[in-house]
Amino acid sequence: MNRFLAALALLLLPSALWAAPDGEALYTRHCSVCHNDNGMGGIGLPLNGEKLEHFSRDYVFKTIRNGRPGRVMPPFIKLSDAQVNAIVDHVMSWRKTPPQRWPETPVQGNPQNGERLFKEKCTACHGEDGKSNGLGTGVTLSRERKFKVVPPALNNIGFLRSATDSWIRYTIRNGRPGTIMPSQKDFGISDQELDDLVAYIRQFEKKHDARPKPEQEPPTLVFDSPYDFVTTVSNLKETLKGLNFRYFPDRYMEMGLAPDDQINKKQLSLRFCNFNLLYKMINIEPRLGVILPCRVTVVEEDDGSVKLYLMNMKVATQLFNNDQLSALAEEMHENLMELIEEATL
Amino acid sequence: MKTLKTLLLYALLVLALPAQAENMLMVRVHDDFEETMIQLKSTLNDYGYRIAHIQKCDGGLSGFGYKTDLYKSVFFGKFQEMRRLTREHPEIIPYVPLKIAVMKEKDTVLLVAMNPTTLEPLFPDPDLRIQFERWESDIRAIFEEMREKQKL
Repeated sequence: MNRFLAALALLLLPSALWAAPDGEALYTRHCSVCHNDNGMGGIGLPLNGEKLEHFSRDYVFKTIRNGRPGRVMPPFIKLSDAQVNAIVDHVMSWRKTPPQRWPETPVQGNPQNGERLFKEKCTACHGEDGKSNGLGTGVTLSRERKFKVVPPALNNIGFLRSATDSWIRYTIRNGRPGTIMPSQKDFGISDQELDDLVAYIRQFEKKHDARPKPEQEPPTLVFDSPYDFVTTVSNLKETLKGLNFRYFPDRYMEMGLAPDDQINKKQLSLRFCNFNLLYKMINIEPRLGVILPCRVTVVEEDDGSVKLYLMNMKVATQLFNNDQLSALAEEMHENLMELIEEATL
Repeated sequence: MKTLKTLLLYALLVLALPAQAENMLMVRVHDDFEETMIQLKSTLNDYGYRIAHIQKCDGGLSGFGYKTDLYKSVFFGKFQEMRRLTREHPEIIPYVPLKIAVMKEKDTVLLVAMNPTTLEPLFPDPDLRIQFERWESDIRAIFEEMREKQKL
């Protein structure tokens, strides 16, 4: 037995511990589901084409490590440096030119003047305070959208920690070929004004650190109904109509999982949708289907009392790491509270 | 010999490490949409799950005049598991049956599920923790099979 274990260890150890990480395999496993094959983009931004020629190794490495808090891109903290480097090498292999290096030296500029310029030249795409005017993620593949590729949120702490001043300066100076991002020449600004813009963008980092953390709420909202099961269901349907929700046919919770004569008929799910709001939300977060559609489950307890169970949209949508979605989830939450209040009045 | 055993265990652990702990579990399948739905149903059945129903998100959106590509939500679960959980942990009701969103992206299909273990801090119960981890393991395995089954 001992000999067998020793032989197995000798067979496994070299591949597990000493083999160089395979960048392509790691990319396929961790990145391609969002960034698509060969970096063509999907839920995640495209990584290929002319844009890639402007990325430094350091920027890509730090982006993988930091992610983009409040956006779709997660921080890959469990990968080793060697694994991240292998992914970076793989992505960089799509470039036509060797990657450039950017100095770490901060750019000196006047942030007050930079703010004035930013409001004049940049907010149409990058939004007030650099939060980006582009709703959604990555590139549009299945729905219509204002921007084909979403302009980056320049106030995002993951971006600011990944991009050096000199790289931001280079990007504004040259623009982004293949996108609508113009160059310094198109903007008509001087070198000093360019530095002022960079100094202003860098200031977003301080503002981020001051942001309060949201309070944690319960993931499930539970309400008592003063009515019996049938009346509660009827009230909910009437209220849904009044609030312009489209509701779908009733479903018992266990329906489809067992023969009809075995399922619990005191657990009924009412599924409904406000398609106008849904369309806005799904454009921002295409993966929203994992928590759709809106649902109230009416349950009659053993003692005859009736309870209503709802997913807390404000909590569930936090799992998408998407600040834009969270804002709409507040609106949805208000709608749901109105529904419950009216139906149980 | 003890050192070798330790090294062997370490090597096996390294090999068995899960992918990045993420909020969403996802797989991209290079196949057509209908074929992917058939494969998904078959793979879910292989793991003991039944499809409760399929929500046609694309149909609803199109019906209201919005443009969208193919998009469905697949609800799935196990009868006895569902009955026990909703009785013992009714707070979990809005999160079951489990769901997989299936969406077309050009020539590929994306399958996405919420990672059940992200619910652990929200429902701090040892029984539920075991359940979440089992679900995560199943969904990862199902997605891995879907990846392997696709036409290359």
